[in-house]
Amino acid sequence: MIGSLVRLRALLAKEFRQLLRDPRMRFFVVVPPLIQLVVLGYAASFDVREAQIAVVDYAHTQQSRDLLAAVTAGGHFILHPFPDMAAAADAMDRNRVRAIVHFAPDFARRPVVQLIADGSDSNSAQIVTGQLSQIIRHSGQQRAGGQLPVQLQERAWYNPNLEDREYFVPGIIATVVLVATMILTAMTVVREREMGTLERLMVTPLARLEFLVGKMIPVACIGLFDVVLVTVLAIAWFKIPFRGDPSALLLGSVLYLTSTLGLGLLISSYSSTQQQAMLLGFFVIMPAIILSGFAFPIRNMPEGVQWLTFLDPLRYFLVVIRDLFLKGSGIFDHLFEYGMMALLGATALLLSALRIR
Amino acid sequence: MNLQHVRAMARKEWWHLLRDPRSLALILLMPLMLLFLFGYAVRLDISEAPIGVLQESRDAQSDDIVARFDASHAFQITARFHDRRSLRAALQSGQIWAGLVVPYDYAKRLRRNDAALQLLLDAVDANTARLLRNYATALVNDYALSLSGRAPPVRIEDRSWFNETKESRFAIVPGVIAIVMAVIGALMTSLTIAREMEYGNLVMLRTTPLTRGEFLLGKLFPYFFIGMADLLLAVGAAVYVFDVPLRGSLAALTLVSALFVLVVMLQGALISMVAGNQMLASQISLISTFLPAFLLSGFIFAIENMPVALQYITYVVPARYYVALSKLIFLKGVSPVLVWTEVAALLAMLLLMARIAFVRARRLGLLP
Repeated sequence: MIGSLVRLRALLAKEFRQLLRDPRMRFFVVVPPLIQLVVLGYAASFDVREAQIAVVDYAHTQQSRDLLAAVTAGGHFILHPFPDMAAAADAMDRNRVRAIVHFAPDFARRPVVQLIADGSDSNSAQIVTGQLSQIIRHSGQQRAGGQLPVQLQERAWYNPNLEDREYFVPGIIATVVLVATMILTAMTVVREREMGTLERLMVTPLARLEFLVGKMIPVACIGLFDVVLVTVLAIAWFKIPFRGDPSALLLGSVLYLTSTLGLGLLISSYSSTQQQAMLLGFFVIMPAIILSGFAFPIRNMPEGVQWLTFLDPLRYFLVVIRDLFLKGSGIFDHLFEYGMMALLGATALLLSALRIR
Repeated sequence: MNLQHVRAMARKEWWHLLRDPRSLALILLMPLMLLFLFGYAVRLDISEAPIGVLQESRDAQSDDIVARFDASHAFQITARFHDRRSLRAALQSGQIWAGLVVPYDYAKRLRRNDAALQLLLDAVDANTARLLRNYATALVNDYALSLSGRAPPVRIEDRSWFNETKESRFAIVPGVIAIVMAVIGALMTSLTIAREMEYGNLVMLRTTPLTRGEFLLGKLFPYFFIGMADLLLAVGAAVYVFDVPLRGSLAALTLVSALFVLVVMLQGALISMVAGNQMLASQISLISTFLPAFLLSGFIFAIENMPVALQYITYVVPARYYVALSKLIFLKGVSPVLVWTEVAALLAMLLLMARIAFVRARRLGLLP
């Protein structure tokens, strides 16, 4: 037991030095996660705030002008008048406008507003037409006078201003850690194999398990460091409320790292060169991000794909970290997620321990 | 520039590629896998969202509005509650996406034309919440109009061009091709030069009459063909598997894609030279290809919503131009001449990248 600890310490000292010797590698542990958080925190938004809208008003009635004024007053849309549909369609062809609001010449007799959205970006199209029709309907009713018999009052819980950022920033923490740790783990093992130094380690009294643990701990430390770094930035810079229990975040991160590092080791056991490890790593990371519910809700996926997402550790950590930030949950709210991450991690570790000899 | 030298270098690189069938298989499979994942798994439109209902009184009017929600394509009532606390708990656990509250005096106030319904949204996912809110408002509005018996003061005819059903798959697949090519192109080349440097092979090349220009050209040549093969595979899958209409010309798409593949390949080569070892090169390409291409290209997040400073950053993301071009050619059938600025930007990037790579290659110690 003591011998094991001594050997482990020696390996750890080597690993830490090897990882962090290159100043560019040290840079890579700190700066890219921060840049990713800041850039993505600002970039990731589905909302449409300043949409360019073409207006073709053949009617020129007071009512059409009033409706347009209401749209402008909403503040989300920038209107551009066009003389005819052909010119507006041309603008849409060139991606200059997101939608066209069209009043036909007989608008006074037949009050139909035509909204034409650019379907080549279907999400924005849905949001733009949703908002535009709400404004037009509302303002039309106000003009007509008389309140409708039923009103809908909506309350957005946990994120009252419907800020996409509050949804994405905690998710970015999870993906940053995945990106920072999985391929790194795989590469550290495969490099030894490719360089032939694995043979040399095999003639030392180092046991297989000691080798794997010694490879994982330094990367796990980097991962945990990144979690703390990025979480602090999310709270301090983006002012995302952290309502939950910090110890739950720690537990979640450790379990999550177990699964990402385990997957990294598993990748390394299937590759003999660093190039293969990197390609395989990409092959795993990209589906992991797509299927995790990071940007696309899992419930919208076809059922077969939904089953596949259960294999994705990011899926569980995303739920944990989002709820910790926004809903203020504790450790006991996510026992299933913790358990699944531990299970995935343990399975991956076991498989790679069996495969790496 | 001696073409024979270039050919020798390219042949050596081919052998490298063919000797490692596993990497080659990954490079050829990756685009298809990504396309299938995005094409099948990614749906931004919402149907049958699970909602819970708290109906505080059972009368015909309350039943009616609840039935309207259940019948609509957007919502599905999966749970009924009897008090606010259990509704709140279900929202908290994520079991339902929204809760509809029909207050106890709904029927009475409806007779006075002053009824109110409440929709409680789990807004952690703001985008979904926004879409649900829009659906619910439209639904309640239609219902209210039908009750009042008045003709609506304005009717809205809602259409969508280029993608009539607003299906997200059509909008996503052409963008995915761009993401795939951005990743594959840079990935293929980002390790090759670093590997030579790490192994010390470069020292051997220094003793040959190979110049740095010949070295770069020969290195990248085979990967260009693989990249174009990937592209055709992806376009074929998009058209024949996902039924995405290719309304523009295939030749234009191929030409623009070739330009883009060259840009990202040079980006990979540059990463390779700057890193000097494969581990660092893999880290740099991981964060400089997939994430910017995914998030800063306008693929799913519209660029015009980003803060101005960030919008400037997107100008140096090559995928930005290619995502736009791919969507334009696929869905709008527009000739790239019409949007020549995008093509020109890619061309400028190509020249700049080639220049930087050429200058940087001086440090490899090969003949000038």
